[in-house]
Amino acid sequence: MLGAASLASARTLPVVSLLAGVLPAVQQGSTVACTGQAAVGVALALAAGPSQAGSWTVVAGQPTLGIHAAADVGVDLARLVAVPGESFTDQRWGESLAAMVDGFDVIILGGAVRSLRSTTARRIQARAQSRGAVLITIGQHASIGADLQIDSAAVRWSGLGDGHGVALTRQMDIEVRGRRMPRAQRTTVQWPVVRLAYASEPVVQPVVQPVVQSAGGPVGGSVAIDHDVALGQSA
Amino acid sequence: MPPRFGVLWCPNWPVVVAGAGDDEAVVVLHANRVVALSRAAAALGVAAGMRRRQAQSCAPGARLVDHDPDRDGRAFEQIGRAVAQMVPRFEVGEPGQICFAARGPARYFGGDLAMSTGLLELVNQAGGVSSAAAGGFGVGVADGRFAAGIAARRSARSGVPEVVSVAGSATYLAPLPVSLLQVVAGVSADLVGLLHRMGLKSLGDLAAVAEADVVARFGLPGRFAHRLAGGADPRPPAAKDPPVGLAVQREFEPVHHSDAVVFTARQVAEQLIGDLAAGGQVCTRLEVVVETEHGERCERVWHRPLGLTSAAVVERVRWQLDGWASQQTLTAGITLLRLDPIEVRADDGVQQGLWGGRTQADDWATRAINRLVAIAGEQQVLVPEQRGGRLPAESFGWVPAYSADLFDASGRLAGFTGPWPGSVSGPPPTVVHPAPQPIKVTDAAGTVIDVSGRGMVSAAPQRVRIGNAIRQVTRWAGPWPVEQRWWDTARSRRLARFQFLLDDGLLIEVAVEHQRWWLLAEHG
Repeated sequence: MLGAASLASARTLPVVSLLAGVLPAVQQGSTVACTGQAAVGVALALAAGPSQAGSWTVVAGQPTLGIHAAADVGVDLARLVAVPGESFTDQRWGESLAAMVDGFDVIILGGAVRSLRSTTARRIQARAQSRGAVLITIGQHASIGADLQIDSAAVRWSGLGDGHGVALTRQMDIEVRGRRMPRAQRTTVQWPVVRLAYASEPVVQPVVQPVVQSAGGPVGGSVAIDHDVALGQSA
Repeated sequence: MPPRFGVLWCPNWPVVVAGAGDDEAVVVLHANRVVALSRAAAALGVAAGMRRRQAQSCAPGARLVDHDPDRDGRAFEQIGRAVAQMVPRFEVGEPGQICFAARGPARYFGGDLAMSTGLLELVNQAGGVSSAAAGGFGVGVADGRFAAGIAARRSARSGVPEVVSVAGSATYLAPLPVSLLQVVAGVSADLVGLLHRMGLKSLGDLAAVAEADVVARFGLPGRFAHRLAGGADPRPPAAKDPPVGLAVQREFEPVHHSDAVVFTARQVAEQLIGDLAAGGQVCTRLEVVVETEHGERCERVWHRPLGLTSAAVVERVRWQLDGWASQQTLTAGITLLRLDPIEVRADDGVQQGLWGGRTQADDWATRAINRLVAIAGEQQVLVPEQRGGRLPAESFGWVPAYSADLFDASGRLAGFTGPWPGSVSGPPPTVVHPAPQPIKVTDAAGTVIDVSGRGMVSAAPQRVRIGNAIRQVTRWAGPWPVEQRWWDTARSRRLARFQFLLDDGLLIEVAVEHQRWWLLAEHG
């Protein structure tokens, strides 16, 4: 298409509030690499903004994707499609990805696409650029050069004790580097965000012994315990 | 009284384009729903709106074709050219449908019936043999577009033209079911269903209700339906001809490739539709004029009662260009493109998608899914489904997109599957292993950790061996025992779950079942 690339680069896709501090918007047609401890979570969070605005998301080569986590971070499951493609050849991936770029706004590339040949990858990226689709890679793919890299490091879970509690939320440092960014942007986010209603509840002393429950899981009191630990961490 | 209209309609135009043999069952699908079918398929019990699987069980030998509006629109140009021999001014609605003012042609060709019979013959010749197998064309003449559309629909079934007498539209419509409002005029299925449940089963019942009452209960969509049912022109009385200045024209150096013209059309259409939308208006009828350097000219009027979006405008320009270029050898490049909105109306919210609020993104994605299924295979293109359960891999699962309803996901994503007491609270894991990975969990001395039947842990877990890597456990929680389906020997499970925080900050969910440790999920 004539000049579509220049038009597409002027357009952006929305970003959810979790990442809004470091990344006001994602340019259509760009490639984003999500690396570090929470790569999958960050990739899903990136897809959530466009998904809530009506875009379709396809997850290629990530058969282990947590669907519940995707829904939890804001991806609309009615507009989510997956192609596991574990035994695909390079050519089959090339054809599949070309079809995905034509029809979807957000394409998440998982581990099974890692072995893509660089010629195929360049063709797909050029197509995504003219079509205005965003490619998000989970981890650094050798053949796919990224315009933007979002690195999540120093993940600190709170809520988990030594034989008690339950993981409740994590704090992590997010660093965004990009080709067109003069300086790397850094921020610390808490994810998922713990509602304030919990914080105002009375704090219960942590139970040191492992809690043995018959058929029930960590319910009721454990939430307060978790938050006690969480508060202790942030202080 | 509304003016007299003629409508030419082929309800199963996509099947005509797909090319059905005389006894061949052909079914055209969009998003796994039947949109058009051949006569042979209808005889086997297939109906429009059915799911793919349902249609396949009715007609196992049927040829399934994907819906492609572009292909249908291009092919319909040939019918448009044939119709132009008898009726010079007409509007194209959806591919397969043409509407025209009937008064002039009827006078010239000696009455409504003679004109429609002539038109039907002409079109059946142009459409080729396959249109008979698909259900064929119908021509209807009546006061108002809606009545003429219904007459054409009935005519397509019977094969003879149907003419409603002057001022007889209301009487003609009265005994017909309200569901025609949805099929012919695109009124939402919700409204039609509600009218039916309220006991207003025929169009006459609806027309008999006072307009004020309908407006009070259903608002503008209700008034639209009420006016149609009464045989009145749906065009609201307030609609006025737009000011002349709205037409947009672009002249350029001769262009020989239709893609370049379509690209210009996209810019022009976005500007035009955007300007109208800023004033709270939508364009319902648009004239597209294309001219070559040597003065060859192609003009066509496109009509869409629900309003033309910019994407719909671009689509129609492409159909017109491709159809024109394939029918006629052009001697020069295209130099002029003109989009002229002939009818605009206030955007009153009556515009619903034909299948219930579908967007352009939905259409593109659905087509991409169909292509992906062809490339990657049916079992490789999946959509999520909510199942419910206590373990990470149980709460959701993947089902083939091939058999799922892509537009109405409420069936597979119910939203609530029960409280599931005993599931681990906190954030759900981002990496869930469909098949649990075997791991080894030991204490500092290397002894495998054991969990007793009463949920007592033999020692604090210290090391985890995943694959060949041994990693330290810094913090942990659990056990959370689960005993499910003890009544069913084949599916009963008894396990205890844990959360381990590893030395590099990775949180994993593991379980021990029959003294063996499994990695269930990770929070990556």
